[in-house]
Amino acid sequence: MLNSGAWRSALSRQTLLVLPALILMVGVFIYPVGRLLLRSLSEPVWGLQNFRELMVQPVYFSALVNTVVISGSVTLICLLAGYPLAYTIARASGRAQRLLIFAVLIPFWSSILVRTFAWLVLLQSRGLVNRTLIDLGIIETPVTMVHNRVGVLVGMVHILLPFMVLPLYSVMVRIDASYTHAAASLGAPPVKNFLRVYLPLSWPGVINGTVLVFVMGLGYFITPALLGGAGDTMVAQLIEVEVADLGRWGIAGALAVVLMFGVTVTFAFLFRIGNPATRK
Amino acid sequence: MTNIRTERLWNALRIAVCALLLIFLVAPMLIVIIISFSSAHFLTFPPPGYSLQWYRKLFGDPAWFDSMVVSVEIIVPTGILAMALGTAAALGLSRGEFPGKRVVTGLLMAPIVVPVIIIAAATYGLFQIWSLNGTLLGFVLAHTVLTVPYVTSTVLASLEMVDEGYGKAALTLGASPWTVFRRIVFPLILPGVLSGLLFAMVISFDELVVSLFIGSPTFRPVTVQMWSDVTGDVDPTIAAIGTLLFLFSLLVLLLEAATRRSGTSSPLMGRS
Amino acid sequence: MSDAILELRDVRRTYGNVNAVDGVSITLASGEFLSFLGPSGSGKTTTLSMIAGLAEPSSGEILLRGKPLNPLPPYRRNIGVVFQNYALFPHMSAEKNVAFPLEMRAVPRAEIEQRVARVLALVGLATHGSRLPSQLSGGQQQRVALARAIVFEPPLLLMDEPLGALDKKLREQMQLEIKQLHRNLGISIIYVTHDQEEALTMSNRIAVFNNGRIEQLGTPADLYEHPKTRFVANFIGETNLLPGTVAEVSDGWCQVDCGGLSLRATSSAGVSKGQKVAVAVRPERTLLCARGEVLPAAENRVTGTISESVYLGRSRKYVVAAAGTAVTVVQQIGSASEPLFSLGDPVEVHWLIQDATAVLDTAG
Repeated sequence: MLNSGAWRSALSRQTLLVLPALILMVGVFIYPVGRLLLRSLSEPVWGLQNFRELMVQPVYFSALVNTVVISGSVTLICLLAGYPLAYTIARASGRAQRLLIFAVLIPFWSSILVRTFAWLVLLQSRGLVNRTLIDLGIIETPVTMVHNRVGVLVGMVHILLPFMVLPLYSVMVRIDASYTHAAASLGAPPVKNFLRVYLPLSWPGVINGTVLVFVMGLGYFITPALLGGAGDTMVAQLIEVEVADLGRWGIAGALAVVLMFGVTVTFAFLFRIGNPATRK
Repeated sequence: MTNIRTERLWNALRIAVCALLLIFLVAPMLIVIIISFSSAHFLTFPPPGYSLQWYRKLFGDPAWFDSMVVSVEIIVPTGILAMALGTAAALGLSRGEFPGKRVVTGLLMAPIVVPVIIIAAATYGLFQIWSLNGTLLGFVLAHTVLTVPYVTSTVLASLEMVDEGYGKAALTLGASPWTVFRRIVFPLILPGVLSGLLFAMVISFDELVVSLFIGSPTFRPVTVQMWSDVTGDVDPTIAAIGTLLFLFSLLVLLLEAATRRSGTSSPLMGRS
Repeated sequence: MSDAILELRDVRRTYGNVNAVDGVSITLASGEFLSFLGPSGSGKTTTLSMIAGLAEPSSGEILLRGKPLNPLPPYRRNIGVVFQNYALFPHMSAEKNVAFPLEMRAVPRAEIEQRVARVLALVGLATHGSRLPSQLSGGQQQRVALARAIVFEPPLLLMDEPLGALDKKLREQMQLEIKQLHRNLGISIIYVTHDQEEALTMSNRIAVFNNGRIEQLGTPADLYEHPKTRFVANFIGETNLLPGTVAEVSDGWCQVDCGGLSLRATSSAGVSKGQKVAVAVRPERTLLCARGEVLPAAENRVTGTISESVYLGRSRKYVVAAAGTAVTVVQQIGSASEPLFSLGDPVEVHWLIQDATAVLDTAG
């Protein structure tokens, strides 16, 4: 009686368009990742022995600790450096703002490997940084900055800083200047104004940026491999060794499980405390 | 307690710190570009002299040249496949609610949140069974998985900006739903779709971690070649290829910005 | 009588518990300009959408030239629609927009060009054909939307508040132009608006919508002079409403008891003895005189004092406090002989009994 079933089914047919992508995702992503995570329990025999080994063996345990510590440090540095940078960009006007954003995005468009390599060049004993510091008289002999924690931190901060700045910026640029003006007219001195008015308003950006940087840092491979020393090994490097060199899929799976766990926990933390931030 | 002068001082300090940070962000890439023209055989900065030898080596050395060819062989099918699958997925998702929509969206976007090392190891394990390691098909499948989420979200954003009133008007003017898509919706989302294509190709070109695992000594993209170079005997060749990669990405970015109507959001420029 | 081109039979549209359209029946004559008038949410736009095929009726029938429209999708109904925001395709020029429906009907290229040029000239945009919508002003876009909806010569044109986005002067100009177009083309038009002045200006008949139903359907004069319900009386123009109960009904007239006053008024069909009604009389039909003056018999009168006096340029508005209520009187400022009253003056408000109607006192 009413309206064409043909038209209705045309609309529902459109929904089927998701199928090809979905099939690819399930077959080449969900399935292999699930399989890898399962192997943590099934190889070489069923049981929790792989996880026990992670806890017990210092190699694995210290790598897990390193990963959290390094990623956490990088996140903190990015936050401290990125906040004023994002603020400056948000307050800039028109052309200057576009230029600044472009500058922040330039790192995005050069590969991580190339930039890490650039730091290798810059931070080596005869590199530009050491030579400049010696020329300025700040130090006398070159400081070792590669193949150690300093190198890793510098490299990772360099790559992850834009991922802190952009979420912060996108929130800050929407903060109306009239809030801080009103607070000032009501008698708030600058520090209080910032802590009580501006910071809370920028909080969603802080959460977004922190979670993003921390999660990315947890899984990092290239930078610690090139710029870090033996004591800076992170989980990703271990996984690579276990799979490519040793073929120990059980351990690799267990490491992957732990890494996924860390990522999931961080995201859950985001949803818990930063709910307004997830609104689009 | 505070006066204009201290405020000015703080402001100046803030601007100085930001200037330093910007130099920090931008300088390394500049240095790579400069070194790529170095006449020396090792990595000194500033270079003692200038030469094009490393670029010549890139195209002359079979290991480098072959790997660049492989890269191109990978990014073209990957870009096209990701564009097709991602656009279809975006169209399917934009139709409105259906049972399990949240789950489907999550699955399609998942590769962005899962650490790439896990994807790399998992894919390598799978490809061992399917004998796809070191094959073009394997690379295209793996890279498409990594890039489809970006294409999907780009096209979805484009679709959201197409007023549904246009579709309604076209229907009343006599256009069937398929004609509405062909003549009205698709032309309006085309910039977004092309963006997705370019985005996918750039990501695939720069991809290293997964490629490390699923490549073979005879079939590897240029990023893996770079990796083996850096972890072995290093010379400024890697700076040359790095510069080329950078210029490629920059070119794509500018191309994408040019085809975009002004005022629309672009994934390559980040969220605004 | 010209044959009916569109018929709605008890059309309903329900969303969950809400009756957006609650039993609407209309017959539109060929060549007629009918307005759907009402506040937002009254169901007028939903009814229009159902005629266009963009929404499905929950029940009821819609017939175009006697043939049921219900099973047809919008792209087979051959009805022109002008949308509130014009919906001009942004990636096509004005010409291409107007050509679109003709392309859908496989009209040969040469003929398309001819017809597009003709209809663009008709709306005064002959030289603007190659412009993109973004390069046209609001008024020009509106004309292109109109041209696009009539170029394929549909038997019926639906317009959904098309002038809402324009400023007052432009709107009034476009109203007259649309009216002219209607006369010249002889096309049947259904026009949705919430602006009662617009409806009064342009329509042959007006259907007043409220809460998903049509409260009254009639010519502008019918609705203005003889509103049937309180809502219609209030919505169209300004009116005084004096609540009371019907004491007597006879032969098209009734005597209404309004809090002590006995007023005589015309009554419409639904009024019966004992019913709660409101006596509606337009402010401009009322007259003021000083208390105690002699008045002709066939008039109602209310005694009170001036509580408000407002100067409006071409008229003066008085509010008279009387009998526990307020009566608004509007006096044209014409000859200098019009008496002027000041706040607190004791006055009598009077009007001809045929200028007052007893309307059903429905909530709304």
